[in-house]
Amino acid sequence: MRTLLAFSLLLLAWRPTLAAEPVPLIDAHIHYSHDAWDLLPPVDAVAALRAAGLKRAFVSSSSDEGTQKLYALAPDLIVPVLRPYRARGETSSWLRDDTVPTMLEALMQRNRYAGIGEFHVFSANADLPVMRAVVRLAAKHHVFLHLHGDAEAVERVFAQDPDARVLWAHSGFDQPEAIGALLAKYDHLWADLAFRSEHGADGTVPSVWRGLFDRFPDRFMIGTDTYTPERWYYVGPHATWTRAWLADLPPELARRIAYENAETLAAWGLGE
Amino acid sequence: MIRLLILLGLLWPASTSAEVAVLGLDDETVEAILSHGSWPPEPVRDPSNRVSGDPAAIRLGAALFDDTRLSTDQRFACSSCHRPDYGFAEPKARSEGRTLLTRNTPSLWNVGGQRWFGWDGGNDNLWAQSRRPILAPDEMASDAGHVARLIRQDAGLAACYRAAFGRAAAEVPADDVLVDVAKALATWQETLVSPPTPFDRFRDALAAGELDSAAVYPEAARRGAALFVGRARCAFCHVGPRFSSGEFHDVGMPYFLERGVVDPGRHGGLAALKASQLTRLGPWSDDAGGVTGFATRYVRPRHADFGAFRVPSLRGVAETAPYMHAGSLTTLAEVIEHYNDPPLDRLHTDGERVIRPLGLTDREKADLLAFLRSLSPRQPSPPPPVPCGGG
Amino acid sequence: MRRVIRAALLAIVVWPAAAMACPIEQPDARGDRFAARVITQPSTIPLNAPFSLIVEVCPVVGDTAAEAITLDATMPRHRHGMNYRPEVTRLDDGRWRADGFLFHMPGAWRIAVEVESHGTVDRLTLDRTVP
Repeated sequence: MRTLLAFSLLLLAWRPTLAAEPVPLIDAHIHYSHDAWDLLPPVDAVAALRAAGLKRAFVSSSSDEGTQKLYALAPDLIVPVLRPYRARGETSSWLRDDTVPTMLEALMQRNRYAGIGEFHVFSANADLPVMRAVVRLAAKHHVFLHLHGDAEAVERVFAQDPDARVLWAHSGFDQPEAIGALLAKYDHLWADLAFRSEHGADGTVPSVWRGLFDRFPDRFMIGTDTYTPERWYYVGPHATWTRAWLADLPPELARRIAYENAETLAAWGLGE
Repeated sequence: MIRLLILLGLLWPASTSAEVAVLGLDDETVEAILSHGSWPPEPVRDPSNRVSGDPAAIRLGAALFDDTRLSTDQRFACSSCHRPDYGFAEPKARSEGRTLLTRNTPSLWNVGGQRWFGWDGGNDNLWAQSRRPILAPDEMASDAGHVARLIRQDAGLAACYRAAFGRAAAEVPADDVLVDVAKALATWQETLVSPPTPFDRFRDALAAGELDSAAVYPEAARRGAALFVGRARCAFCHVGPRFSSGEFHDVGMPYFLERGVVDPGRHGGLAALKASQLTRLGPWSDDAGGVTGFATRYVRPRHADFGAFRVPSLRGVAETAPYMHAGSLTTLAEVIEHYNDPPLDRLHTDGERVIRPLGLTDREKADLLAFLRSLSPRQPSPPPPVPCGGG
Repeated sequence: MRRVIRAALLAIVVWPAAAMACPIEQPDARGDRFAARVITQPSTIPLNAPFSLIVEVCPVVGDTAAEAITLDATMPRHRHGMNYRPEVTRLDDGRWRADGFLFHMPGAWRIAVEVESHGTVDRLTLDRTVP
């Protein structure tokens, strides 16, 4: 019995090894906000992203000036995403600020973006006028929405615009079955895995997550979420951790989650 | 609630909720307050340390704690930073070894019996934690050979060592002597149990239904206690008689050390733990089978570990300023203000919502302060040093 | 994951004919396909101290046996989980044992029992409050 168990575990543990080169990653959840600029100047920030072996990074910042600083320095690396916050801490107030759509429109006229976000919106607030205006802006400028919120908010956005492209931040911190249900319902929904670890704890992918990734191989992407300046120094460790659990997946699926899905979404948003 | 009913029904036959209400406390508050005692706890020996509780080891540990010869250049003893006259902490924001260190020196009162040690929980036992600064290049900068020579060549220490470990240091490899020394230091530190405080007397009086005695506890501190376990939400993390869960949280404090350098907190602690041979599950532990290795066996790495630090005990807190992992808050009033108006934008939106603005009035802040001050014994006195023979 | 795999293998190899009818009259948790009785050891969940769970699982419809289970817990109001990851093993009597639980905060916790069978997962939850 013990031998059988050991042999079975060996079979289960075997997997083809990936190439020696670290798997390139696209990190879909990076912020470079105003309080990071002094202790982490743009040159340091870009160096941190490159040191982590990132192919590209979706960067949104409070204010957008942070994103522009990095984009100017490394346009090959930075995928600019327009955050509707002028400063950190506006996660709930922005939806009541009527000046936000005008600000976004002006910036979108001036700069290049792949998406609008990451913004926070939950439940019925997704039908507030500011949010509706943002959905319209995204459609007009052909960019995706990086939405941090619950499934209801996602559904309300798609009700407003069935053709919208939505990147669901943190996969809504929802359970795998709920994520699967929403992905099944909306073909234009993607999900990032930032700041959650149950899908890859100790370098293995639990069967429930493996099943989800198998079912939706083109929809997931990874992210660190640098929600404080200090967390830029977690981008590297996070990339290492990510590569460990990606190695538990078939290489083709791992590549899609590592960077291909994000690359496809970025190319769509940037019109590449 | 059931416990409260039992207390009211059996231990408290002469009191009613209405009478307790005279003290300004409702049933739920009383129950929560009772959960912070009794104090002191029953002494518990550490199974991972075979000399835990042994008087000879305590003598050796006490002697070594104050012995600068543990450091190669005789500049530092444990007590250089863990000052007995300052609650075994020190009045500096960040400790100073051979360089400016990265964190505030934590108090050693009640350090025995913790689940994790250090601000980052890099060790799961007190002896490994005690060995760390002996070897750290920017602290005592010592090594096993130096420590073994000291123990072997000092007649008093050699005698104490033999009495504690039942063998001569000369017959023991240097690495083993170093671990034994750490275990003796841990054994002595386990005796650092702080005396009962005004809060403990209040809590015990409540438990016994002695309302007259409970009423001696100042009204402001009573109100502060009610806030602490209630609206101020402190007791989610500062739980139990130790006033600490011993777990790790990001409470919104910055953790940049300088440009380009951050203190990774618990993330680094777990990496150190993973690399360590000196855990409760490792070969140096005396706990055969790792029965007490629960924490290390099951600990779960989390992204939130990065920049998270251990919840400190609040016993004796008024005597150990400054506060937080890097000593960045000078007074308890500043700590209260931090939690009253926390930097929400530094806390992840889907992270812990335990920390949120409290809207405390000036009087409520003063009440919380009165309560926190009541967690210190009136006369905190460390145990007298016990000489370990001649030097 | 390896622990779950091991538990799953044990379930398949050692317990090929797991009890098919659901003998649990008053389950602590019920999902679409499975029900569970959950006993804590000690019986009162301690605050900030380790405890274990003994879990009995049976199908509420059909006769599908549980192949593996995973157990975890969260504080839904605080939106965080445990700092420890329980290990699940199968007991000789067909029940499951989870060690490694520790509730470090007082308040409302939700224990989740995920029951795997035939490639699908049934998620059962039960709420417990630690004073």
